[in-house]
Amino acid sequence: MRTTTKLLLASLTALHLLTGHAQAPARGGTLTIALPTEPAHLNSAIDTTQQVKIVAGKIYNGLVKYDLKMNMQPDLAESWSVAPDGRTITFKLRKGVKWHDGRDFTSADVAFSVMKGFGPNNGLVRTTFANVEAVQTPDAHTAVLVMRQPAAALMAALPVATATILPAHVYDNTDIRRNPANSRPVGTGPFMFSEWRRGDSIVLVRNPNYFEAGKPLLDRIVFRVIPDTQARGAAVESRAVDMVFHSTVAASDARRLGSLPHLALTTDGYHFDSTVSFAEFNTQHPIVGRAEVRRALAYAIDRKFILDNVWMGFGRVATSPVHHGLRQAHTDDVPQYPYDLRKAEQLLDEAGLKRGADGKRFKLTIDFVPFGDQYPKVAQYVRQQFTQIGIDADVRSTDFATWVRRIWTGRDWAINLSALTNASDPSIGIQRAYSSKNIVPGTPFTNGTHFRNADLDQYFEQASVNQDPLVRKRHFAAIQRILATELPVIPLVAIDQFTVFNKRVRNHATLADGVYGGFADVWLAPN
Amino acid sequence: MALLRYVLRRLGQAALVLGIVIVLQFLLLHLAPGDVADVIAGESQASDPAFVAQLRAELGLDRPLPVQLLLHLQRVVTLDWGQAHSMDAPVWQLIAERLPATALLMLSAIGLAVVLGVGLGMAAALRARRWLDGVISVLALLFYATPGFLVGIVMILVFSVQLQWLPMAGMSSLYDDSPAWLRAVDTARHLVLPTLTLGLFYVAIYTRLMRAAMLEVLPMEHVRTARSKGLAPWRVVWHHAGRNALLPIVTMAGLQVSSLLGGSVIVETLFGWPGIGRLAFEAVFKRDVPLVMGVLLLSSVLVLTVSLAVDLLYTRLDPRIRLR
Amino acid sequence: MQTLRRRLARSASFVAGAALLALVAAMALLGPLLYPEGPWVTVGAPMTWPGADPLRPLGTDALGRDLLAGLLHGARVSLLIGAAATAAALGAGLLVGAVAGYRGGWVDDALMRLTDAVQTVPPFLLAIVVVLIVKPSVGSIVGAIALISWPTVARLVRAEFMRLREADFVSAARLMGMSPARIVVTQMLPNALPPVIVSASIMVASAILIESGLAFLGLGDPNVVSWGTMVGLGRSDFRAGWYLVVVPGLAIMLSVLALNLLGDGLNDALNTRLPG
Repeated sequence: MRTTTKLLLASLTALHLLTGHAQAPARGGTLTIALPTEPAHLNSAIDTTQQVKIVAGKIYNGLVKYDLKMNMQPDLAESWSVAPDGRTITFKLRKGVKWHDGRDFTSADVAFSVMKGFGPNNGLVRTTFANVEAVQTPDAHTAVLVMRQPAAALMAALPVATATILPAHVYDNTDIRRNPANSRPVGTGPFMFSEWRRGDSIVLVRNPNYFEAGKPLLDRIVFRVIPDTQARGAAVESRAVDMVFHSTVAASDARRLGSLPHLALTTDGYHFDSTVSFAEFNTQHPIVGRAEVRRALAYAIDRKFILDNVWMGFGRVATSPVHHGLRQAHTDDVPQYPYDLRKAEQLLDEAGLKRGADGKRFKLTIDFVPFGDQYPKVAQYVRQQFTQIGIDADVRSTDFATWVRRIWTGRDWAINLSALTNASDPSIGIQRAYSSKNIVPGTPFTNGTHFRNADLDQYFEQASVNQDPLVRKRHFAAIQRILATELPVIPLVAIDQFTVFNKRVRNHATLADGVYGGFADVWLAPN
Repeated sequence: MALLRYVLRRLGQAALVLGIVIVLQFLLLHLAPGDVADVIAGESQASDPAFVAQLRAELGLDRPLPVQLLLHLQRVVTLDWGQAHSMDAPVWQLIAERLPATALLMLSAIGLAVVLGVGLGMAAALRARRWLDGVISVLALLFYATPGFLVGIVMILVFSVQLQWLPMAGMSSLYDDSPAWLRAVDTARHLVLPTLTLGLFYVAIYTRLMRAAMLEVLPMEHVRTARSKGLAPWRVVWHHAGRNALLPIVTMAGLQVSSLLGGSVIVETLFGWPGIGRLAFEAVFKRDVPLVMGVLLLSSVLVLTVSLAVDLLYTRLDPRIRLR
Repeated sequence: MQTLRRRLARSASFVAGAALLALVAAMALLGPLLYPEGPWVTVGAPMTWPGADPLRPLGTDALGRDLLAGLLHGARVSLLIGAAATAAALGAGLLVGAVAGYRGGWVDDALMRLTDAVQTVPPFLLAIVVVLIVKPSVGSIVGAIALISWPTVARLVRAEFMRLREADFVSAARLMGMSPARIVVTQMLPNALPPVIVSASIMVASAILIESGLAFLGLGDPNVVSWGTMVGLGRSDFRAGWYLVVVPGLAIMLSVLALNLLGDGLNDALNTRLPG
């Protein structure tokens, strides 16, 4: 063949490979998402529930975004630099960004949001941002965070879900919790609030002045409130909704749905919501307060059974409260407790808790978080397992408020089945549960087990201020080893959250915050 | 005059009853530990003590119980429904937004029940002890005995999933500026399954009631006279027999309001219908006292009103009954 | 008594109802016999369909537990809850109704206002509030159902007592010097019982329905296997296996049917003065 022809052929092939079968993103259309619970309002700076985040994430922006490889991408901040001592972070903000009501976005909004917005009000990241002494605004497009101590986890807390940038001109000098803008939000994001039909739906429409040119691609997003699990599954199957997020269809149904020709299933995009389920203990309980008893009980639980039959295989058996997705911290090199009923019984005998004449050793009550369909099943399973090794076990079912009161304020509980989100970093998600400095009666999701370990506290402190990722990893490994030895908590399943969606929805899981992101790039393929 | 006195006396009694209801419910809601601040904090996995304490202070939950009760009673008397604790809106607004949906559902269910019940009941009575009567009676029994959620789930499986004829959640699927008639059709489509699920139970009741009432009336003197006069059969049936048989139906319909409101909780939860039944359930779960009290108060007022109306209507329909 | 028995035997509803109820009772008795280890044990692969495994004729649930074992054991629990709740409601209703009907006056007014207050709140909603607040358990469920059921009994009994108060034999007993308590218990109560007996049957049925409704909403007792809790647990997986909900649902329907037929039959047989 002649050289020129070869060249032509090669370049044509290359061109073909590049464009391949990729369709061009189409503009327009309405995306419908199923909401399992109606949000109380739409301000994610003061509320970190899923139903608020999913809507607010499309109306507001954070300073940065993270892609699936955990690289930082610009959002409202175009560029940033961290001082060598880690105590100052300078953000160069985008120019020409407008709020949905037409006003300009400036550094004053960032200052307000950090110091008076999410900073003091977001329950998840309050301690992280408490480190910020001040936010300097040398000009309208520069914001400098000045911190008392370096906060290693702060950069991970900057996406919109945890660092929602609010409009200062709407919220400053008002009671942030009572501001009507909480239900009629004004943001900078790709979508604007349009309508809220209580009990039924929330409608967002395209922001024509969004700072990313040509985006968003969708005309409208509709959130439909569908409280029943089955109804959600049927809705996505019958195309009444396009997307069901955060594992809110029955896991037993999810795979079947995903295999239908018009639907797909993915576990991408939940990095920041890495959740691990566990059985935790009241370390002040006369019986399970003893570490040897807890270790015995760990042998009695078949985590694989729970993974396969309650979470239907969505996840991995957990060896640590740190999710395996958090690669900067997770380790498997910890003491293990393989399923072995005989060993469990032997250890209980050795602990002096032998079976009585009636075959029973002691009584135990099992509490569980009244949220989701899985935990009642886990409770029943654990009860059955404990009965087999001679424990007179009882399951207690309560509503949310009573459960919160009991675990974190009262002390009359023994074992609690629940889950904790790691958020984007163990310093945010895990430290609050096991550091003895965070035993705060009356506040949920603090250290409810009352676990105290001086070494553990030390490692947590150091990991939160040290910038070196290798050093942090070593500290987290030590923490996980302590937790696996003392076992104030038996990790059960590191959950893979999933989204079931109609195949016509493209690009919804391209960022680390997945469905909770802005959806500016999402488009609908024509049928 | 007697009528006015009667109404006033009934209203007075109703006010007293409502007072008792309010106090009892308030105490009931505070029986268990925990409050809405725990729920709000817990749901957001917020682990900050200052946040929770501040929330409690804002909602007035840190004050002693008798004080809270008095404040609540004061608000009720001034017709101030208060602010919901768990949702960012006043109680009256949340209720007002969701009341039409429940009203629509309930009226449809009662309408279906009365129309179908009266029709089937009449048919069964006219063909008493023949095969049609047997079929209708058995069906009525079955619908009465089947739990509501089972009816609903089977309906969903058959009509929404299998046949895909009808939508299975929510009240509407249109979110754009469709014309009113299109919206009405869309809402009607969404209304079918919930109405059937809620109403079939009452169809069974009314069928049996109507049949029994008709059977009592049909052999009576005035009906036989009318028949012998050669009047058209259906006219006999309706004018002379049916109207008298309606009395128990009317009474029943009035009494069903209370039961319908309760039944609507399951139907609204199953079908995602945005009504106050579901609102009440969610509010109780979240310990949102003002919201729960608001819904329960409204239901009680509704029940008392309908009960009074039915009693007054009763006197119209049957002049033999006088007001005590 | 002879005529009563004959009347009952002639009533098709009564016979059918009694037969079905006997079937349900048999289920309750067979439970511990056929499945002595109880319904909680994981016996097979989870989520197997009825008929797929001959050893598990009705299939298994999400945790691999035998549905038939659950059904049989659950029969006992559901019937017990229904009976207990009805007994409590009858007790309270009889007491209130008898006192109000016999004494009249301000006692009657006060008791009726209390009855009104309880009846004014939609019953199922009240049951939800009670069970949720007091924490779901067999005790709280029985209590809640009794709470919402006693007013109807009270009104029924009161109406009967008000009628009977003027009867000749009651005046005669009073003249004879019988104490009010004795009159109420020995003279009036037996005559007031027929409508109460009929409603008892219906009340057990509705108690079973209410318990299943509560369990459907997640408010069942987690330490007990009843038909209601089977539905509650199977509800979320019902697409993968609708038998999880339909099987216990049909059992509930069967019992409710039986009890209603029984009530109808009793009504036919005992009815001489009943309204409507």
